[in-house]
Amino acid sequence: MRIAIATTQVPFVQGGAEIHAQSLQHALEQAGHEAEIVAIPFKWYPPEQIMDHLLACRLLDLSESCGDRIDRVIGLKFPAYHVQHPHKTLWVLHQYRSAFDLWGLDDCDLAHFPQGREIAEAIRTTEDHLLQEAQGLYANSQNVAHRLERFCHRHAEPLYHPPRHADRIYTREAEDYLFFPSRLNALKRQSLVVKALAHTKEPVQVRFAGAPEGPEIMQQLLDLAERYRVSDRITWMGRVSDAEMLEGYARSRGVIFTPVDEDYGYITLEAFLAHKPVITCTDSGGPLEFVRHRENGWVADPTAESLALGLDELWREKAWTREAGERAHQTYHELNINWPHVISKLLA
Amino acid sequence: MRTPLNWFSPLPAHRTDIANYTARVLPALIEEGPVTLWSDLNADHTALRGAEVRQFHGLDLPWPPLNYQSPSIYQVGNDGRFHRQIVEVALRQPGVLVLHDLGVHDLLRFYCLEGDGPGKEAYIQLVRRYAGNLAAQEARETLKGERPVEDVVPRYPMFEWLTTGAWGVIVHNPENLDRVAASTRAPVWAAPLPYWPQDRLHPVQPPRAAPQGRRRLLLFGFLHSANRRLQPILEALATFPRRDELELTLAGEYPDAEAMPRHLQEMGLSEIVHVRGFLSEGDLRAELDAADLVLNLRWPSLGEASGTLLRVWDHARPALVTRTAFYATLPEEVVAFVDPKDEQAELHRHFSRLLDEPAYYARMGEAGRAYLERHHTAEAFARGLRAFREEAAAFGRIAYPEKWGESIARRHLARLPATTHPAMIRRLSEVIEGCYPLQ
Repeated sequence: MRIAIATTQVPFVQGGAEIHAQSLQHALEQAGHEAEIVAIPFKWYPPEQIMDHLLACRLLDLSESCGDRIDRVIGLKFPAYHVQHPHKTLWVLHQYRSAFDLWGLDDCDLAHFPQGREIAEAIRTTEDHLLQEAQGLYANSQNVAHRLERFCHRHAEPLYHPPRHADRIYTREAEDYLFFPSRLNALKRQSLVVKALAHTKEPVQVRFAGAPEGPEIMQQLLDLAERYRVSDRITWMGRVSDAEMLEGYARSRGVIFTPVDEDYGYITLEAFLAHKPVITCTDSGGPLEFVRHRENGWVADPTAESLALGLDELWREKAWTREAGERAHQTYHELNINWPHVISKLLA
Repeated sequence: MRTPLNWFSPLPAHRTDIANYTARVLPALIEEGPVTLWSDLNADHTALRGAEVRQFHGLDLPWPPLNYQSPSIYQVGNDGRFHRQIVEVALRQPGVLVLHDLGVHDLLRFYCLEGDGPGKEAYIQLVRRYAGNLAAQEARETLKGERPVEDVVPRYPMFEWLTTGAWGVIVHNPENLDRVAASTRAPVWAAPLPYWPQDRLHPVQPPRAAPQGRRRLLLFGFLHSANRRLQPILEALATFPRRDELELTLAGEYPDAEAMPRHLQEMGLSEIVHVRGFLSEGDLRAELDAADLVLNLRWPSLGEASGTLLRVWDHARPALVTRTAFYATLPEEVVAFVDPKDEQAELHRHFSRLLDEPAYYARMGEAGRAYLERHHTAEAFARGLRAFREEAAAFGRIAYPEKWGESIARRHLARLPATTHPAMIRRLSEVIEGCYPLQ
């Protein structure tokens, strides 16, 4: 089959979504299909631009290329997944969240514009209408599926996929640190971990791997660590290579991942593949689909005090932590997370 | 649920009847839920009890709460001094417009041409968009001084400039309903002009039992506009044979106030016309209680409903009105009509009848008061507004698609050669229509 993967690309910005599209393309090719990523530029400000970009997507013709039919479109991101095609399947990474779950919260960018409500309403109305066009509707996580159900009353089957380095992830004997790999930003909530360290009874050490989203974020975290007198228990690794990342997982005692309502979160699955338990929070979204409290990880309330209990537990109870890591690895394999399964569903 | 209400309006410290309107309905609005009054004009608003009063500057507003709460209510009248900043907000954050004047051309000129407004070309373009090429040509001539503004403004009310983007429009003149509804797909409500809540109505004073000296006429309010008929009224009085049996009080603001005494002298009216200027609330109430007939003419009509008429009825006093627009829809027993085509003779007829048959006008005043209580209480308006806000919010879900194509055409297609526009816009319209459920 000739398959177009319709996604959105913010020019010069690379992240998990781009990796996801590339991984899907690779998997389709492995399965014997011809696959192409059709990435449409996206800009979300001022808010009218969002609707203009949706219109741009609607104006595109992906039914054929150079006289040859394009058999299928797989749509990943708003508004690219609204391109018109007679055989379209959506595998939703996330909707335009400011119009849905972020609406009413501090992180909602739309609400800061006078026309924000008007555009949010327009996104909701058009999304609701255009989702009907898809022959198949999948979400990349239960969390995203729940949002589709809650806001658009559409049932989407969650379809998990392996993280990019799944076949290269390995494990080693645990060393004395907990590992938190992620870009440094407010939504990933590294600051909560810094505060939690001040409440731990054990001498917990944490390594943060990831580049800050702006110099001010880095400075804020450094100042916070200083204020809470935990600087000597933290290592800021900055941007790391893939090899360093994999080693970071492999040699850690456990992995910390405490974002706010993450869509999916490769971190959890990568940790499980490295035989490591994961500490997360009750409001972290995607990780909660995999982490079971006291079985393959720890689920804390999103407070410094509650999180500190989990950090102490993983640090103190070495044997339990090792067993929880084994159970985490087992969890991953029970979930049937592999590309052939994903492809068979998307092309069904 | 008691939904917060954001209400943009001039406030009573500002000399406009729309400010008084806000003060009148406020107690009933507060009964429905918390109210925030937004005004760009600085003044002491301590008299507005029960509401939060917030001043805003330009577009410096806390947008998140305004986005999250139900659509804001914008009071729009034709006076740019009081409504320019409100319109600035309303054009960017759609909500419910209360269109007090159908004719907002003066406001449009003020908005475009005064201060840091968008300028002459923007004015011409807006006139072209909503009134056509001929109107744009005439508007351009006013800018060059080749045509009087008064020649153009009444013929092109320009309310479409505001109603096309609104989520809901309220008019208080039922005559305007169809015209406004034709300009927008948003819901339009012809709401009876609200007055005070029932418990705030004026205690009715009995009409003066017997003639004592002269019968008293009253003309009050904002008399700047020629359509309030100040000069024709003075002329009618000056030519009325029994004029010495009448006296007229002028209360309010009117043009060329300094020249008025000499003007009255020249007309021979110094003895019977009393110029009181802008009165305190208490003094105005006393004048209304003392009046035998209130002159409340409008010609030509600017499509407004009359708050001054409600004040007259509140005091159970009779009013002369022009048989036009909103006034023409009123029952015969609650107002006395003046045919604008024969205005002088009609005024003389009413002056004579007042002198000969004062009880006829006294009964009319009482009927007016009963009509007010039946149709115009603030409570009825506040209840209706609650439902209308929900209707407007529902329209908001498809409001942007409604203007999507035009919005794109304005922002992007203007850069393309003019010859490409029609096809592009047609194509865009078709694609846009496919993006949302058609109603």
